[in-house]
Parts: sequence; structure tokens; C-alpha cells
Amino acid sequence: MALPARRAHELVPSRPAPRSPLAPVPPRGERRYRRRGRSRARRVPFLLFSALLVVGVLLILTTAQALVAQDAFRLSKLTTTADRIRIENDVLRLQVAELSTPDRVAEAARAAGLVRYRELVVLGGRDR
Amino acid sequence: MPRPPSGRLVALFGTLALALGGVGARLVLLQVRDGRAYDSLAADQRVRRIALPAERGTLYDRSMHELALSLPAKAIYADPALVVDAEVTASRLAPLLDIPQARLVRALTAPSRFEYLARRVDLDVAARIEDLGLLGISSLDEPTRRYPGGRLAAQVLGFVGLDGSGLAGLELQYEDILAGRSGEMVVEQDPDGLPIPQGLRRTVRPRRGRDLVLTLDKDIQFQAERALADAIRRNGAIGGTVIVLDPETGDVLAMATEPGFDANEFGSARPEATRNRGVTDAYEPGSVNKVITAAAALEEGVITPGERMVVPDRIQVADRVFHESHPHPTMAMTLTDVIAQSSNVGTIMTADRLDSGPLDAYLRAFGFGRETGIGFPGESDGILMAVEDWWGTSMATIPIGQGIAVTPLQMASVYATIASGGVRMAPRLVRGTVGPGGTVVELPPPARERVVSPRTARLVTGMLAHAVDAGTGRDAQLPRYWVAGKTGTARKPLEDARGYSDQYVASFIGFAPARDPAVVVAAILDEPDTVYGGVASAPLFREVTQFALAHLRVSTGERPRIPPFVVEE
Repeated sequence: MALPARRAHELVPSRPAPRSPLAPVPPRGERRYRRRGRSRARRVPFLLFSALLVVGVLLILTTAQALVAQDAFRLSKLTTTADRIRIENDVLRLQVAELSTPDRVAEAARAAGLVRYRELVVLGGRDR
Repeated sequence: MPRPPSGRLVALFGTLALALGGVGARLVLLQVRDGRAYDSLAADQRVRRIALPAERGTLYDRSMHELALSLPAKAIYADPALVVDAEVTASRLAPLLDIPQARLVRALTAPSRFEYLARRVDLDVAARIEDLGLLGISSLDEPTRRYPGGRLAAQVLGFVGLDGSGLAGLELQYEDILAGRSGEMVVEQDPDGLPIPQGLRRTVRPRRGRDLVLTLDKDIQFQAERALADAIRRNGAIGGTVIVLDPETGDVLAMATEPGFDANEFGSARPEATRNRGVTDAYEPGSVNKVITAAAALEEGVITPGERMVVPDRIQVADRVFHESHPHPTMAMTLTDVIAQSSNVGTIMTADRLDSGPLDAYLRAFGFGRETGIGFPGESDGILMAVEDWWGTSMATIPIGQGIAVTPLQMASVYATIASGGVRMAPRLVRGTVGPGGTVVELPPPARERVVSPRTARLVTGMLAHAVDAGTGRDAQLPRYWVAGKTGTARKPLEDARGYSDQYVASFIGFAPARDPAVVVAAILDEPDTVYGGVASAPLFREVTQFALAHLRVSTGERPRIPPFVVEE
């Protein structure tokens, strides 16, 4: 395998030089501040995204809950209406059945001025 | 350095361990050994099971008109332990339920946790009671049964009890099909009776009963009931029965019994009025039974249609002399004349040529002494003694319809057998059930059995037609239709079965048109003023048959051939 153009030791990351005991040391608070500033800057998009996600999920859940509740109300109302209509239908069925019984028909016919036949007339056939 | 008090520590830990062990053991006893019992006790306190009654199936006539149907209704009940002021509660309920206040107070102060206040209450009344918000007053679903026709076919349809189960008639016979299956709702409730949120809630939906399609035709049924009521009034009778059969299928088109009752008010009906007497009550048929004697003699070949018998107006059998209904000189009669004139002596002479064994066999083959197969609750199989028990006079009484008892349906079935060419078919009241989509699922047709040959059936039909044309049944004649039928008059036996009373049962049974019968009609009147069937029952037969033929749009048909004639085999 051919070596790259650069030397091999250039590929090895250089170790930071040991701090000289005489070199000035920055105060501890300043170091922390610099580190915190950097990480806070990095967290902002994540926090925003999280907040948006939470709010979005809450909104979706609330909306879904409201829709389910609305549907439940509608379902309950429709069930009540269906029950009422079924009962009305049953009562009307009874009324129709009562009104179409032969004695009620005969009564209505009498009220309309119709009279019962005295002798049934049969057309066709030979006489006795 | 002082040593730790190890002895005391060990003692302390030991005591604690013992105490904890005791608690643990008690827990195991409570949770494991007695857990189910306590769970059950707790469930009894908070779990409530509510029965969800199944809607009962509808009864339709053959044209799908409702004869019985169920409607939603409520039962109002009280938990007296929760009622605060019985007097006030009763005063508010009394006008709504139309029940005396004192009766309600008694129920509201009863030492129980459940008291019915009213059953089968209309839904609007129940809603008004619920709106009152009375403590301790609640309602339950309880469908009510309604019969739109009221008295129409009431004895056939029967009725249901307060619990919704059939008590009589077809409602009882077909209870398994009509009732369906009840459901159940299980809910957990707090001590105030309110449902516990997130608590147990389980519902098993009820399964509706199946609908039945009957063979009855409501118009023919109504006309039969109306004509029967008129005939009873006209003849001063105490009751009567009319049965209309389709001889081809065995379908009962009408079965009317008077006195009747309103099925919606069965609680106030007299018990005897709720009996379907056409099926449950047996009577001595009298002369209408002569048709079996004639058919048996012809089938056995002991007599020919053209043979003339010398018939006096009285005959002695064993120790008893039997008379004709009217005195006449000794005369030559064919079997046709015997039937047409309803001659007792001629019938006894004909039966004399048969042995008791064959006569008994024909009576049983025509359906006597056993149930018809209709399966109606309380059906009587009549009375027909075993042939070994016949008396010396039995070969005279039984051929003319005395000393035996049959139901009107059994007798109508005999004529239906002749009308259908000698084949007996069990009568039926139910055509089928209503399947999914409203289609009628027909029940299997009833069993058919040949009783006499088509030749014998044609001969007997001709004889019966002659009886209407020129014999005792002239009052049953219809314009343009040829009718075949027979009158019958029988004295009613005394209740202690010793001898006869002075009361009669008059009947006329026949079919039309004679050549191609569409309907068989049995008209029977109990204790009419006029004793003769021809006078009392034949006009009733005529009226019902005339309507049935017109209603069913039956063509008039050809004149039947009157024996003696050469029968084509």
C-alpha cells in the first residue's frame, strides 16, 4: 500500500503540550462560563424542538379527545334517536295492525255507508 | 468498649419476625383461602345484574299480517329501604299509575328491597315517573305482548304471562322459537346505586325470538267467528266451533271458537272461554261419522255402490233397538241413499258386513283415538275404546257416531282425507318461520298416509254431494258451487257417563267444490234450540264456505258424479 504524501507522524494527532507550571491559569468561573455558554447555545434548538413536540402532541391529543368526546355525544344522541324511532315504529306497527284488522275495516266500511252482501253473486259456472 | 446487646437484638428481631409472620399468615388466609368468598361478598354488594329481556317473535297470518307482536314497556318497582316518605311518594305515583294510593303505600313500606308497583307500563308514563326523581323508585325494561285483533283467533294464539313466557295456545306451543334468549348487563354500583366509573361493565345482548308465519287467514278467521256468533245467537246455542282446512296441505285456515275472549285482557276471561275447543274438547260426532262406515265398507268390498239393501226403520242389535230419526216404510236403499238420508238402520246394516276389527282399524286410520299431529297444547285424542272392550251394541252405535268421542279437528280431518283423494295429512297451524331478510322458511310438510283408495274417496265424495243436493244437507247448498257434506246430530252424554241428556250437538261437515275441493269446513253448534244439524249448522257451513271460496278466488268447478256409477280405475 502506498503511503500518502504526508509523513506518518503528521497523521498522529498532536498531544497538547504540557502546561508549564509558570503559565497563567484562567480563573475557574471564567472557564465554566465559557463552557456553559457553548453548551447552552447548542441546546436551544433541541429545547425548542422538544417544546414544539410536546405542545404539538398535547394539541393533537386534546383535539383527538375532543373529537372522540364529540363523536361519543353524537353516537349517544343517534342511539337515543334510533331507540325513539324504533319505539315509534313499533307503536305505529301496532296501530297499522289494529286498523287493518277485519273488524276495524268492517267498522270503517259501515261508517262509510257500505252494507254487507245478502247473497254472494258468483259469475260464471253452471247453475245448479 | 461495651459489647452490643446481641441477645436483646435477637429477641427483638425474633418478635418482629413472629409478628410479621402472623400478619403474613393471616393475609394468606384472607387472600388465598377465603379470597373468593370475600370477593363474592363484595361483588354482591356492588355488582348488579340487570336482565335484558329478549323481544318476543311476532305471529303473522298466512298473508304476513301481524296477529301478535311485542312492544317495549317498563315495569315500575320500588326499593322500600330507599324510599324517604312513602305517603308522599305514593301520592305522586298513584295518578300516573292509576293505582289506589293505599296499595302503593303498602308496597312502599314492605320489609323487602324489591317491590313491583306496576307491570307493563307505557314508556311515556315510565318517563314521567322517572322525571319525578323519586328516591327508591326505578324501572325495568319489560316488553308487553299485544294482539291487534283482540278476540280474533284468541284461543289459537293463546297468551303470555307477566314474565313474557307463553301460557296457552301457540304462544305456549312455540315458546322455544318465539321467546329468544334474554341478555344481561352487569355493572358495578356505589351504595347510592350510581355506576362506578372504570368499574365492571359487561353486556350480553339479548337475542330476539324468531317470527312465526301461521296458516290462519285473518279474513276467513274473522268471517268464521262472526258467522259462528250469529249462528249461536240465531239458534240459541251455548257455544260452537268452526274449522276451515285446506285439504291439499292440511293448513288450518280458520279455527273459531265461541264463546271467545280478548287476548289482551286474558286475565278477566272465563277459563272455559280460553280453551280452543276445536282441539281440546271431544264430543260424540253422530251421523257425520257415517262417512267412515261407508268408506270402510266400500274399501273392503263388502258393499258395492249400486247394491240395494232392504232397510226397515228399526233394527235390533244385541239387547237394543235402533230407530231411524223419522219413521218410514221398509224400502230399498243404496249406500248413496243411506248417506244422503242419514239412515241409521242402513248404516248399521252396512257395518254389520264388516267385522269389528276392520271397522276399528279404519276409525284409527282416519285419526280417531290419537292426536291429529297438530301438536296444540292440551289436544285431546278423543275416546275410542279398544276393540276388545266393545260391547254387544258397539257395532251399532259406533258406525253411527255414538259411543265414541272425537274433537272437531279430528272430524274435519276425516273429511279432508276424503277430499284429498283418500290421503290423510296431519293438520298444521304453522307454515314456517321468518328467516333473515324476511323470507319465510317453510316447515317440513306434515306426514301423509293413505287411508282409502282414490276410488273409494271419489265414491264417498259423490255420496256426500248427493246428501247436499237431495238429502239432509240441502241447507248447505251454494249457488253455482257443488258441495259435498254430511249433517250430524248427537245427544250429549251425561257428565257421569251414564246415559244421555236431552241436549244435542248439531254439526255439518263438508267440502267444496266437490270435484276439486279447496276448503273443508266443519260447523258445530253446542246445544242449539233446533236439534238437527241440517237446520242448525248447515247454514253456518254455507256462510263460511261461501266467503272462503270467494276470498280464495276458487272457480266453481264441475258437477260431481253421484254413485252408483262406473268408477274408472
